[in-house]
Amino acid sequence: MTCVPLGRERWRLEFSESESLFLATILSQLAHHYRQDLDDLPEALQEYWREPESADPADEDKEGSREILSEMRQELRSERLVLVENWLRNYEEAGKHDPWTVELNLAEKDDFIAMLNDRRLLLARQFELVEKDVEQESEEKMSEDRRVALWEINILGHLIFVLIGPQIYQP
Amino acid sequence: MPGVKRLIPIPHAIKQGAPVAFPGTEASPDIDLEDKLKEAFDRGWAVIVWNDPINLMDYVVYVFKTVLKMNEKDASRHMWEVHQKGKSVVARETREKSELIVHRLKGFGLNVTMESL
Repeated sequence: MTCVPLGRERWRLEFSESESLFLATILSQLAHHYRQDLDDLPEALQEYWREPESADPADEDKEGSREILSEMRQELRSERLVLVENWLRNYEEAGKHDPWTVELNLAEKDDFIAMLNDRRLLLARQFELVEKDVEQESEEKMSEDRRVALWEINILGHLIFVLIGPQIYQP
Repeated sequence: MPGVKRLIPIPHAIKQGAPVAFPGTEASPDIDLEDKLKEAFDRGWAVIVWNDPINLMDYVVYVFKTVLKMNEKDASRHMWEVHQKGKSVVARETREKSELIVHRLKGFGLNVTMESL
């Protein structure tokens, strides 16, 4: 995958055929996740989208903020579903995927990065991956599905790095 | 005011009723001085970012720069504080602004809370 700046706050992403297929699979899984009712998700994944219970529910300010943030968080799932469906539609319509090219403005790029990171964080929660797993100290002892999840997390991390790379060390 | 210890000294210019430009802002005749002072004193909510094992260091720096408009030096400093000390206070704002910041940072997947000071 390459991320080429086109000018002020516009980029062209280019994916090889295998990268396109990988990405389309990830996006389909994300779409499925965003579509699901929150109550139907495993508890670990529900927690990702819910605001934690307030330590002091009698504190009206904190409780008020918790409710507002919970609402905004639910809306974000719906917004991300629309975005991911747009990506999948673009993939279908492109037909040719070697390469698959997509042009994005800054807001679209940030949304894309955040969605890829959602997938990383959701996988980590689903497979209970902790720091020592991520640092690959225990990969050999891992089950196959946890190892695959870790690979996916690392590949998505690489894609994110390619996307933010040109901007991160600019003033 | 006798008997009351003032925590923050009132600048001379405010005492004299002169227009005041807070650092990083421009004085505007449309914004009442009283509102500016109120907002300054209402910044009683801290936004705290907590460490987690999945988010990449460079990614966290990028998010701080994007959401909090930090320069690279500050963004990196806060990222290292999160990594080494487990948390960093990245903003002190009004409740409403803190809620918005928390929402945006969470939208990028960071582990964030807000606390009243």
